Amino acid sequence: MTMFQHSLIVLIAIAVIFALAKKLKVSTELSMFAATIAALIVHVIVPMGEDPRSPLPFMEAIRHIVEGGVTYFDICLIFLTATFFMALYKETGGAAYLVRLIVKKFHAHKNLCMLLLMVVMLVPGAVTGSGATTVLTVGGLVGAVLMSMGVEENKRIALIFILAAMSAACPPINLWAMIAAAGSNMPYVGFTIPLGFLSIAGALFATFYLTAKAKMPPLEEALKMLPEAPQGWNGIRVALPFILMILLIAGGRVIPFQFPIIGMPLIFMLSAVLVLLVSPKRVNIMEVAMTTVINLRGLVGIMIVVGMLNQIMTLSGARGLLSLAVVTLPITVIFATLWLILPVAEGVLQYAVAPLFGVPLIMLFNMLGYDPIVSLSTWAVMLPLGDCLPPTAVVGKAAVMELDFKGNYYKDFVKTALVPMLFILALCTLVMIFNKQFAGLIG
Amino acid sequence: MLVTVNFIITCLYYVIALFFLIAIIRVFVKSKNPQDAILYCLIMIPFVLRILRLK
Repeated sequence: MTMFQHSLIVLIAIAVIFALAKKLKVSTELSMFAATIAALIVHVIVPMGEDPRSPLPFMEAIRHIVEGGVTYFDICLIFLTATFFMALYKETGGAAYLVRLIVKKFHAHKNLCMLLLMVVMLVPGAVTGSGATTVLTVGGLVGAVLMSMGVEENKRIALIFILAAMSAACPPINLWAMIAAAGSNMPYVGFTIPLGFLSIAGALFATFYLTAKAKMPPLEEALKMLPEAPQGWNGIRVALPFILMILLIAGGRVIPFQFPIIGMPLIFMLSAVLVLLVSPKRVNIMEVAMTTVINLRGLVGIMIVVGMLNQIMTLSGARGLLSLAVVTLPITVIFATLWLILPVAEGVLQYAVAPLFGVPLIMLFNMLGYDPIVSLSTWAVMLPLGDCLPPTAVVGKAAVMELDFKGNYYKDFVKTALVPMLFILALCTLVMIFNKQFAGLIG
Repeated sequence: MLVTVNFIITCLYYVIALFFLIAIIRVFVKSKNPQDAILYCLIMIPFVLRILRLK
């Protein structure tokens, strides 16, 4: 048996066991975990090609599973701390006060308000590189403002998701571009203009396309739709946690050598502590933390299981097989299909898609004489759009949770988001095809 | 100076991991759905490894 056949059997085992577990009504996270265990068993049992490796001892197999589970620990910690911060902000009534304030100030200026909301949504993801962080920190807030401005539920969640995806793609931090650039020994320089152009154009189109038909209710009616804020909150108190958060994030970028590396989880926790200090209302911290864990179990669970699956796919050669299958396609087929392959792969592999597909694609494009910076930028903007696709659907699930979305995930949410998504994918594909001309245009 | 600050930051990260581990354990104990309970066990793995300084 060749290594190709071995890896193919592992891939088939993953697909079969996942489908079987789903059929038996097992949750997505546990179905994927079952598929991971099956892949490991198949890898151990099935012979490994003409150059057999040493057998995999039991403890080594356990190590791979456990080690895989830690792959995305930092991201899980960001999810938990960001949600905890915003949950505290909501529980203490700060969010309600802030939303009412925004609606009162900008009710008469719809387009300006939408533009400001777009900027508010783009900033957290641009500085952290995570769309889920955007949704978990400001998604609920912006969703509430959109509701009070008459934007219907399906369009609201679609807009929150696309803005979160574009915020993750927006410079200065685009994790997919950074990972793929690092993997191919390319400095992360020159990405600001192409990434900024593509992500802001996508965000602008989505914002005005999805809110064009929104009918603003009168101010009194809009305020009635929003929850009342507890007594004692004022503009300064409500802004302080966000000011601290922005200062701590900016500190590391403005004075990098004098400022300690705090990391996003600690920044969110320090901001959460400040919420408790400035809040006029007392809350049970452990209760809020437990609610956060319950709300995020799917999101954190899938990240841990995807890490395990990635580890086993790498161990068995299945990951390499997938990568090879994509980069050996003819260039015209790559141009014609990447808009579909990348988001779908992102839905399955999350950030692992950057080293898996990004690195070999950069090598291929560079070899063919295309501009690798512009090309990588287009892929790095297409990728986050897959964060609403199964099995992980990390940002999509976070948006559903934050907005308390009651509609059908695919028929209502994904279908509504389809037109702006296709616009962004088409724009990226065009820039990818005419990458040399685009590179010449931006210098 | 920065060495001390970095040490404090590292300690604070252990505190954060412990805080959420306690929350996960409490949710796990209260959980009635077996699928959720298994998922909480999986979620606990990286937190326990971090606190034990194994990863």
